[in-house]
Amino acid sequence: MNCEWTKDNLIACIDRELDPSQELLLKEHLHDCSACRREYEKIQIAWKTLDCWKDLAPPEHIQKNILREIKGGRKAKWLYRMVPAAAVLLIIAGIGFFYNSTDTGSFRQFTVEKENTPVEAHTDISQENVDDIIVNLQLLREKDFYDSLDRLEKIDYLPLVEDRQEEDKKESNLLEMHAA
Amino acid sequence: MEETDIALMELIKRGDDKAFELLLARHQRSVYNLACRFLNDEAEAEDITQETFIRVFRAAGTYTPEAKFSTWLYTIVKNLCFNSLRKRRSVTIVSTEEETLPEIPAENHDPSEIIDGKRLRFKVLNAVSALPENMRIAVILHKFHDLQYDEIAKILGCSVNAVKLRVHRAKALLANSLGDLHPKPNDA
Repeated sequence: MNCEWTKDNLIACIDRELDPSQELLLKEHLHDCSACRREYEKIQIAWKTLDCWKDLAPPEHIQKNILREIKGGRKAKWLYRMVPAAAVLLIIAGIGFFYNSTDTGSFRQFTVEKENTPVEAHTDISQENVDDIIVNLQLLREKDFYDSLDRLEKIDYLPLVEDRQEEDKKESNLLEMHAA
Repeated sequence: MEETDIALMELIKRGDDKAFELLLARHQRSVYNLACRFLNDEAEAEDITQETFIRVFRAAGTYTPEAKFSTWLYTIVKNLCFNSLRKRRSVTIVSTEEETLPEIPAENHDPSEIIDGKRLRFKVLNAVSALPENMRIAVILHKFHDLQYDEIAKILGCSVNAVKLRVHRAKALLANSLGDLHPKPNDA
């Protein structure tokens, strides 16, 4: 057991971290070595001296400040939650007020048009009527076809088959005259 | 029957303001004194105490009791204290193992000097303030808050052996600066 080992293990001894056998050896060395004993005492005195650093009482306003901060924070939290909801409600109310207050508004027009749209009447249609309707529809379709033919005839720049034959005759007559 | 801290946190989570007031009353002294001793600044310690409890209140909703409440609470205080030191000094904190141990100013005094309580307190304060930050917080938690090494290790986020080493080194340094004092028996 030497001084170096003892000094390295003094604090461990004070903290009761050494084996009982090691502690016994160290204490025997302390009994014999005044320098190591002095070191041992210094550590103990220093550690004991720290006890004079007493606790301070925290100022009373700390508690008040904390509680005020927390209650204020809670109110603010509610406010933060209410603001978006209030904003949405305000926007909806604003839109409603705008469309109801203007007669020329497109929303108003749309609602008016919708109100004036005739409602379909339900009528009972017999089989005979259905046949008549089908016949009439066929006639209407044919009428459309004939009408389109009439329109085609009226277009003068479209060469008709008869006209083409006449032109051919004219051309042949001209050729004959040139030949003569 | 007295409610445990964890039970109080559960009540705070449900919106019980009285539970928070009780928790505050129970712990504000230790929080304030930890910050006060570590920073050696009463005004800053007040701010840190306030900030700590505001954080506790805000975190109550997500708090899960994985360790002792005091461990969690002191971790918040420790983080705020280190942040405060960073702001104050703009110094990067390195681990104790890498730190070079500072020279604690030796007092030229008569070994047989008997000093009064006020001067003694001042010397203790200077000696502790001269310790490196990681040693200082470990010593304060161990000496003044009666925390075991394993709990301090959780708070500081290091191993138990690292905490032990820090406290041992701090004791050796304090022995050099305070070991020759002879306080009056009623002072110590």
